[in-house]
Amino acid sequence: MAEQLKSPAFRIAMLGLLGSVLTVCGGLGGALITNAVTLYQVQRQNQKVALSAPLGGQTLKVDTGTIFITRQDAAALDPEAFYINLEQAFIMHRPLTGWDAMHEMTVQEQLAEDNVTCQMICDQPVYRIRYGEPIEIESDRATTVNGHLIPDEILTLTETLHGPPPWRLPSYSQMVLNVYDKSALQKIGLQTLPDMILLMTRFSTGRINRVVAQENSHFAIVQFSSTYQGIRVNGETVAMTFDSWLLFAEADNAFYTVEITYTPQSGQPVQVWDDLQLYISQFRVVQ
Amino acid sequence: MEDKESKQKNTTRVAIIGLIGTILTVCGGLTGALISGATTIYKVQQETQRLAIAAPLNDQPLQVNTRQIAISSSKVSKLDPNKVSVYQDMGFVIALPLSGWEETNKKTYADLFLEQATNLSPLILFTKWIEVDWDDQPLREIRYMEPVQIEFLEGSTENGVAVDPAQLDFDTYKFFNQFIILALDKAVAEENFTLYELALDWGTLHQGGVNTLVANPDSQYVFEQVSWELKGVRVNDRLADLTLQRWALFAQAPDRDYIIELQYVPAAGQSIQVWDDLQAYLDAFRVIH
Repeated sequence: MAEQLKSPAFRIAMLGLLGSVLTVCGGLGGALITNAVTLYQVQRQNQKVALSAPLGGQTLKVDTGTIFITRQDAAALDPEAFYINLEQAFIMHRPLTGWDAMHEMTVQEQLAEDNVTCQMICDQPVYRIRYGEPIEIESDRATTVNGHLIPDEILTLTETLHGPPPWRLPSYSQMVLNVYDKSALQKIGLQTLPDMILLMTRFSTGRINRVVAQENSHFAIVQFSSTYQGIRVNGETVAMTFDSWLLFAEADNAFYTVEITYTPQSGQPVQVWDDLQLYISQFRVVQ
Repeated sequence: MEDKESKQKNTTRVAIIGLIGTILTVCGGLTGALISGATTIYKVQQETQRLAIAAPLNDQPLQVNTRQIAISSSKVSKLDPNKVSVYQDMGFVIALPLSGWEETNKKTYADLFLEQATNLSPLILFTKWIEVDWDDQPLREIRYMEPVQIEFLEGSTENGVAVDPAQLDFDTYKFFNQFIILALDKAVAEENFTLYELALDWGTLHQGGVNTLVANPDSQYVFEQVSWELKGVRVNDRLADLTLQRWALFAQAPDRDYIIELQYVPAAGQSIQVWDDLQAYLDAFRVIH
């Protein structure tokens, strides 16, 4: 028996067995690692959302897996490139070349710019970045939005605010960030992310082309467009589409909305779109 | 010398066999890893198509597998006619009424308005936007035959808003567990609404009662869950609070948009089978492509 154990054939067999065991372990380990990597990649891929505007408009790409960051990660960011507001728990990219300085105001002040009286949550903060000069748009009662005449109540309101038609109103490529304190929203009966989505889209005149709201997530993205016909820009009657994307994010104490608006027919350089894409994709909520 | 040569040959043979073994192992390992990776991707994708939304304070979610909703015409012909109704003209398939349930005689959107002393579907509230444009749009409704009788009293509230019983036309209202499908011609619906606008506006009709809204990026479906709270009412002759739970699935085919609305009225003493039946109706729903 002892001789058998010492024989070269037995030794080779043992080595072979050991090799097989190692191979099996290696294979299983490799399969597990591959599985984990694939799962991670698929999950990361699912977090990358691409929302196109219709009719060949731009596609906004947002990596929703990066929206929420820790205070430590926030502290590591370059304050020259990023506006870091730890009190309101968010980070946004500072204005790029060609863009105006960031304008900080309240909802009340924002509405006052359009001569609208604020009715609720008036003290909530707003942060806005606009691109250079606006496009002057002239509209009247015959102007249509998405194929429909503008409703009478809106025309009446516009007339009250801006006088008789034609109306010359500025339109900007811009990014607007609103921060809504949850306790303030609860007072007006808004408690959930769906509540916020419904509130913000209810007053939109645009066509809602896409909504992305993943199960058990704390964000949502809405894409909507408004095509105006019968407006005049620089004295010419044109049709013009305003594409907007609205990102919602929910933190423990606040809701955030980041809206970007872009007009492909504005004549502005394509860099404007790239900048808007950067602003929304670099927005972070600090948790 | 011969011995040395034979030893060398043996060694070479062993080395070649070892090499073949190694190559086979590598190939096997790689194939295994690929199969394993593909299986994981398939499983994750399957998982993302499966939506489950529970009502608040209720453990049991209503589930829908959006991957299986679309069905081809050829597969439709293989479905069991003893279990499903196929509406080729409207492009959908629904389950036949189960025991205790009936299909009502409502066939169009306008028919929704015909009943009295009954809690009507929130779908009727779309009229404030569409007026009579949808009146002839096809609809099917399956109901649990035993309604829950609700009486509004002094101090009763509906979603926190006081209800004045003196202003109501009837003493009691029937609330049904029900399953409704509205098949909107896209040419008619798109005049006012995209699929997403239908979903969002259906949500706004619930006055802040929307608990969940799911619209996955790689899917054309929207799934919503809402609550409708009645407090201080008499339910089947007993003073109680009652929260209606509604789910709606918004789906589309090339020429139609579909609103699939389920209403669950959780009343004391009601069979748990009612809930299972609602889930079965949603499971059986198909859009024909």
